[in-house]
Amino acid sequence: MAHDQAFWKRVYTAFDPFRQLQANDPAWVDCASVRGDEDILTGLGKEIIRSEGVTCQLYAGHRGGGKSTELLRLKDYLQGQGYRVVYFIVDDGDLEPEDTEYGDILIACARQLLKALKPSDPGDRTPVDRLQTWSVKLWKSLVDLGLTELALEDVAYETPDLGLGKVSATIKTNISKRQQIRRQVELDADTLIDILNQFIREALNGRPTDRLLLIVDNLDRVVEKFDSDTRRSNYEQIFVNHSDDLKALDCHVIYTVPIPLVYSFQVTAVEERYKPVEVLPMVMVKTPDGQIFPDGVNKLKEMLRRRFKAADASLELEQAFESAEALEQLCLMSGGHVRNLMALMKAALQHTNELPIRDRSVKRAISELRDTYRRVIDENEWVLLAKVFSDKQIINNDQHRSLLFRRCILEYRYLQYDEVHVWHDIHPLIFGLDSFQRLRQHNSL
Amino acid sequence: MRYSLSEWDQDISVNPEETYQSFVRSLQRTEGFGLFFVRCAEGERANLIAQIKADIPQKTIELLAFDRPIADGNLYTIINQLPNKDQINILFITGIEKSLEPYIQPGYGGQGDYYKLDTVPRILGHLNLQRERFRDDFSICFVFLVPLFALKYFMRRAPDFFDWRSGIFEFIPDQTALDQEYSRLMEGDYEQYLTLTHLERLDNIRSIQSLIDEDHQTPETKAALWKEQGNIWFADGNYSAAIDSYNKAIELKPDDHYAWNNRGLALAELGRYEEAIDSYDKALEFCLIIQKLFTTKRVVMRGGTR
Repeated sequence: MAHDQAFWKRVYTAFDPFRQLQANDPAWVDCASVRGDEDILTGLGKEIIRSEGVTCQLYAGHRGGGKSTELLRLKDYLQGQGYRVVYFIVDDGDLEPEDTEYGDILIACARQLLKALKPSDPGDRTPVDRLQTWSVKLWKSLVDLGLTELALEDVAYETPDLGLGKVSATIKTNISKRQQIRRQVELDADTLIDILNQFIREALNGRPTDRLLLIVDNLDRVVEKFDSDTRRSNYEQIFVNHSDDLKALDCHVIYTVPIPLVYSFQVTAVEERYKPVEVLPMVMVKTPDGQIFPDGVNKLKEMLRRRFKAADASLELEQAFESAEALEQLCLMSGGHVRNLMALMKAALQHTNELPIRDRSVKRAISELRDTYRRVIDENEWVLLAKVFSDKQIINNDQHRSLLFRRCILEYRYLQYDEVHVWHDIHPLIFGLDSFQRLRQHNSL
Repeated sequence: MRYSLSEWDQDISVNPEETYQSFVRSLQRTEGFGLFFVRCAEGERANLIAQIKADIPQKTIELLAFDRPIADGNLYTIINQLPNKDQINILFITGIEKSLEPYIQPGYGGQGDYYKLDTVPRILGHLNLQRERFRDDFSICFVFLVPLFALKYFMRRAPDFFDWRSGIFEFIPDQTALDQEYSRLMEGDYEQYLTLTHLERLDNIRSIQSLIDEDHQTPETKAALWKEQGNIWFADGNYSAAIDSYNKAIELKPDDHYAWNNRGLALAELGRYEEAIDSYDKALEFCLIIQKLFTTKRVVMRGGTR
């Protein structure tokens, strides 16, 4: 049956890799059972509901694995329970893109809280004024130290949000003096946190502060950077050295953090400072001994099915493919990674003029995504990958962390006798790469 | 065996016409924001854009070409200031690699170190954090025309932005074009490298790097290119970068006595004489003519004939 262009636009859009599912979206599929029972509502959510006082939790997982979708669900759920939830995505309006530091994050939180929580009594300007005083004072010290040419007056008459915005803009534009400006911000950070906490309390108007949750999404987008002298990672600077500050806000906070942080030598330091990091693993499509795991594959098929349905109610998933095997392989080759699955599906559709999707089109999609993996793996990493492939586990070192970050190694979990088993595997697309096969024959894996 | 290769693990070879058809289909089916990466030879870009315009007449298609680095590395601002940004459906962007080149510094060892872990090119840092604003603020389908090294840079240093792509389309130069580029780069000799300016030498090195990065290069070709790169660093007076490059060449072709010899010279320039001598010994070991002369000498000394 020939479909018109409008049909194709709808189907094609349904698999956009950049559209996040909102809470209660009918396309959402509950995957907890194939993700080692990881459910954000019973994990992070329960901790918030049950704890006395405020909590600070970290949430990690591979990029594109569904973290933001889960966080939006949590937001919706807690709002239903009467919580006030502020969710925001930090972007380059706040973070310095070349080297993000802790101070950037604090200012970002301050600006977002300011925007989201209007004081309950609009006539009461005290908390806002205090913030204003803080920015003016900071600005004055920057002027005194010769760190900015902008005059004090430029800041003094603006709202605190703009004042804070100016500080973060100055950090970004003034490259030579960036570090000095930051030291100045850090010197005043404690006061800023105090003011923010007062602000929170007043905005909540007598309700306990543990009824407020701040979700800072996308801190995992901070690209890891090693200082060329100390060889220290900026992650350590932010999440370990400044953990007290990150935890100092008087409300529940969830930060999304990069998955390599969970497997770094800093992990003990991190876990001493926060609760165990909650990790969202991949959907398990194979068992550790290499058998296909039908429950996981079916979940992925369900995700595709619902997106197809949303585009065209009469469209049956199985009939959209030339063969059942093509659909199965498309799911398996994603490694249980949601965005990879969508990317493969979209590519297969690109190569399709009329349904059903031919086997060859699926093979092309797989082959193209495999190229991407070929290109992010370095010569010296094949041996490590071969070892992960045979051991199904990783070691906490920089090389493995970096491969996790690039999704060349994926994390899976399953529940057995009430115990969560964590294991790792190479991305299934790596298996077909020449370099991997050469090594495999050589080592007779 | 539990793990065996299946037909799904095999790569599919695709002709340029098929790739083009998929590209057109994707652009036609994309409504509003979209993100594509396209690799095609520099000389072919104008043709490709013209062809797309002819095949998709109903869309407004424009080109944004950069011939130098973007000063503050902020692509969002530039696009936001385009006067007709609300009319554009498809925007081709070329020259983004100009903003990456300054980050390729002497001393990098090759793949891996190439995308150094102590820097994030500013433009990529921005893009990685800007992706929501690109999606929410622009109803434009962006097509980045990039060389392979820039594509790899995106993959590694703006992974979140890159992750939102709807496709990569490659109109890869055919083997003849690659061979010609190889011959051109291998024409140079040390004397000639000495006459170049520092920046010209860096240009040569970038060309060598992007050729090494091409898929399906044989180890021999790669080794020869690394050695050539070593010679350029040598002429540039950057001996440690030269040594790194020779090491790469030797890794791929351990019996290359020229690479061992030049490595020795570079080590000697740095005063690392013992390592230099080891390197010369290796050169002697692998130089067939010298080995032959040694053999002849031994035979003569024993008073015999060959």
